[in-house]
Amino acid sequence: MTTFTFILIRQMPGNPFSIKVEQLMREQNLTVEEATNRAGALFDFDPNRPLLEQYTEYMGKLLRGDLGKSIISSEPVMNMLLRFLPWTLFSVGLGLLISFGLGILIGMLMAYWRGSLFDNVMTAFASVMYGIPDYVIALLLIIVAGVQLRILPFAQMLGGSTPGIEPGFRLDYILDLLFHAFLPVFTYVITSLGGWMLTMKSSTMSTLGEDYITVARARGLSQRRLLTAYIGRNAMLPLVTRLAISVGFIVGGAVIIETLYQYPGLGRNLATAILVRDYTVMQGIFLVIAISVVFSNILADLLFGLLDPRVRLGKEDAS
Amino acid sequence: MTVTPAAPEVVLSVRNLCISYLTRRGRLRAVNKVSFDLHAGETLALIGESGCGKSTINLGLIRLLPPTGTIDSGEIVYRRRDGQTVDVRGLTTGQLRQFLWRECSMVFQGALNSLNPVIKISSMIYDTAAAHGMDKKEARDRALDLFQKVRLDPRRVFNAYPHELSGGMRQRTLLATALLLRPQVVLMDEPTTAVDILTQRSIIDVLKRLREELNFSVIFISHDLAVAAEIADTVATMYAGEIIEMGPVAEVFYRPRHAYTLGLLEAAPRLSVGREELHSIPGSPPDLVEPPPGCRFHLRCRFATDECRTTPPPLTTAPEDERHTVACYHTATILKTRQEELARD
Amino acid sequence: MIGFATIATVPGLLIGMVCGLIPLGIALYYRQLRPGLLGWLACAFSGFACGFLGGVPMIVLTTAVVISYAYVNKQDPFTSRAALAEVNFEETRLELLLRLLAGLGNSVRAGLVALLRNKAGFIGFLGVLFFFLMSVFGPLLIPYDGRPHPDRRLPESRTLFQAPSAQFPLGLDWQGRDILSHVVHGGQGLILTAGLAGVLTTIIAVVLGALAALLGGVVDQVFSAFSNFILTIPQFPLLLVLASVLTFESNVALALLFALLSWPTLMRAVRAQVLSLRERDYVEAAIALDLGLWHITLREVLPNMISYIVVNMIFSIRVAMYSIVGLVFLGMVPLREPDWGVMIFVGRQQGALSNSISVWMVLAPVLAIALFQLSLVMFTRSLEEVFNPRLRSGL
Repeated sequence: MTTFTFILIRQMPGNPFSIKVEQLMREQNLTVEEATNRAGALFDFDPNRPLLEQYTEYMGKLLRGDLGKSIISSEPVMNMLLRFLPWTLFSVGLGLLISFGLGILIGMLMAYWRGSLFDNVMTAFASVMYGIPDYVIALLLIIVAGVQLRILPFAQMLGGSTPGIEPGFRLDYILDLLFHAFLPVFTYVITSLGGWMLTMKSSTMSTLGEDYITVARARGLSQRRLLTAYIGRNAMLPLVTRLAISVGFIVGGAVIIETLYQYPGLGRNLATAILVRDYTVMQGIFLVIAISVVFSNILADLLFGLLDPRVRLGKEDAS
Repeated sequence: MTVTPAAPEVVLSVRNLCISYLTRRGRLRAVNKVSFDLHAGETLALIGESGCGKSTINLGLIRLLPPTGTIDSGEIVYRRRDGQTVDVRGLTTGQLRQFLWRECSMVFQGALNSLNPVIKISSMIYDTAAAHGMDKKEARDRALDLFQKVRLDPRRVFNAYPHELSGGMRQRTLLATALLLRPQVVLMDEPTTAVDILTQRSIIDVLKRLREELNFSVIFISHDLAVAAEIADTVATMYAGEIIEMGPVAEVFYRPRHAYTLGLLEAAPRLSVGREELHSIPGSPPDLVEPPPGCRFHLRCRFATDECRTTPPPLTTAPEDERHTVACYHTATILKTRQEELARD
Repeated sequence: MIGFATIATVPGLLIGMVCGLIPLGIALYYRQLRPGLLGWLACAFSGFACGFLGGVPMIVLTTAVVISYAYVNKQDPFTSRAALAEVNFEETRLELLLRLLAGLGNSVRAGLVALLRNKAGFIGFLGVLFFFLMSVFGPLLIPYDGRPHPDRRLPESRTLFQAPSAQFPLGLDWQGRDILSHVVHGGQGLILTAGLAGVLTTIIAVVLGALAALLGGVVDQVFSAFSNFILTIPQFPLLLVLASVLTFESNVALALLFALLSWPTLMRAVRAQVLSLRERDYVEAAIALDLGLWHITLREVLPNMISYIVVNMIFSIRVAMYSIVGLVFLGMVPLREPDWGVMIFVGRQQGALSNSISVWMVLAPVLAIALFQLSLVMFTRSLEEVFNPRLRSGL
């Protein structure tokens, strides 16, 4: 992954480095060599050294947490990332948590009361929500709720927090954070909820047909115990594996959603960095995104292991 | 162990039970006017081909039919140890939950899928105990004791996950769990089908011993005549949703009076007589959405006459044994055929 | 606009009408007037819409349907009146062609029936058809309004934005241009690019997936490792970066880039499917008969996967459309009017989201995208039935 961004920036035709070199040559009448060195200083590497050496140096710095400096603002990329990350982590994490939880609950009830009005309404809702892109939902939310109906104080809800409120672990600040996070979180929830609901419904349906559910019923277990430990836990398993995939998807969508809501997270700053061609920042954000995807994969595996003993104990005595 | 006719205390009485499934083609009558009595300590074996309604009866008795299935009519009356009778069809959901397992438990076919794969056996035991107000310690002691009785290593099994147990172990675990709350009746749906022959042997032995010790009644569903003959006191043959012959095990097997029972007996391999070819019953079970008129078996029956094709035969009692009932017009011919066969062997 | 745009033309209509004579003639020869006339209409229509591109393939389809009505297989002992001994099992080229065409025609007919049966799917189909008709025939009715109209400013207004009125059903944009004309003209490029991206993704995925599964060994490992690598990078941000770094002029290149980034998911699914199909009896039988790799893939494996592949292709088209609009929306690719994404982008820049009069400039394309995506989702339900022979027969 890091290797990939490394190559992308240095070696691709029309890569930012050679563009910068050309630009410097054109604008400041420098020779190729001068321009190369100047650009090298900007990009924080020495273009005259062999590629492999550059690569090892880059990787070494990376391991020490040094991601270079922003081309535009000269601020260390690491600092910027640490500033952006909490916003995205908070909004995406909260959105995912809510939609996953709600999706499981509703999906299970849909399967439980299949054929009922509730099921039909929810299935229609889920299919519609599943089919509509997240930014379309976001725009419709702004247009319908913010502009046409004026239910939401839309203009005040943009951004990450209201300027002027002192950050700190105080109730008014936390409420303000939630107030501003409402739009992105709501969008994430609405767009991913449909998928969770439908998957959970079909998964629950197949679980309901399992013998052990009939046996558990025959044992006279309480409805609650039946729904949680017997139906819910087994039906959830296939969804957990999808959790990691959806993290990548939501983070991708966050680029647009955060831009729309002017939410100061990784996504909006990636968009900005791309527009102003700030390659070191791009590289840094990319790295964080890739790490988060890998991390969520590990997390999903752990969660799966927690829920399914067959995986936890390895396969040595599975029949 | 055979039931002495002198003490026929009935624990479960079923009268004219009809169960149907809603299918795309219409109502499928899976169980038609089935009646029988189960006495205390008795083992009743239901035998017949796949799809003849055996498992449906079992699920119907504890009202756990799939959503497409309904009990159309009939009575299921259960008699508690204190002498009170319970109308199973009239129970509310809450009452049913209390009734199940405490009075009537079940061992399902396919032990593999009968255990929740994500929780430990101990959790399953505790769940069951909690649902019926048994305290944890008592449940644990009782379970460990029962595991011992079914020849399992109690502590190991108690703390294991289902996938850590072999097929036979799981089946015995289920058997022990079924007895956890000291039920009077245990329904067993092909409990020995999914396991190998040696495991089957040991499960039958365990079951016999437990029955002597704990004195519960069993409805035993099987298509394996040898197993049924070994374990049952009474045998009922089912065909196309109806009980067509029922009686004491020796009566039915040695003096069958229905062509279908005869066919089943001829189709069973016998180790003791190594030589003959196996007979099969020609044709396949009838369509239960539109059952044939008359005797439902007449299409496949070699003794069928015009009478069989038009009027369903009534249930009659055999002259030699009043407990032996059969629904066939040609009982005498069939009895003779069987006795000739046995004489030849 | 772009190279492969199609707009209904009068020469196209003529081409279609001429093409339609072939199925009509064959139908008259077989005395099947109704399918013949329908075939002629279908040819004329698709020729009208897409010229040669639409007319010529339609000849094959309609002819096949016509033949399927009339064709009687002489070798088939159930339909042939000839005694078995008289049946000539050698068939001429013509007979072979007829038999294949009749088979194709029967599939088309069965497919159409399946299409009509699923209600949600049929609504989806109507939606997709609507957008197709709108972008192909719409331009004939509603000319493109590309130049600013400062003269359309209302007396009391400070901008050129206008709310919907009888004259302009969807209102006017920031330059006083008719939004309806932009909606009608702005979908085609997007839909075609997304469609192309989806098709390319599917082709790459199916070819690589089938190769990986059938060849196995090193090929399998290399492809799988490569797809895993691409899968760890979230597609959309990567697409953003690449699209902005490479700066595309052509939509084909954009579609190709999308395809290159998004094949792995489907490829892995295809690989898994082929591997599992390989285990099934009939494929094992084919392998045992030594029928050859391509025969096995084409005749045994593909037909069983076609419904799955088509559904995934529609999914890819949806994601491609999502991504392309997203790119435009963030201003990452050169803007070309008319285009739904550009409308959203420019509308946002020009402050169309600030009040309910100007909001139509964004609302109209947003609704168009939402409806098109929704239609595609619903359409897949029908497609599943159309392409899945087991679902089709209704068992």
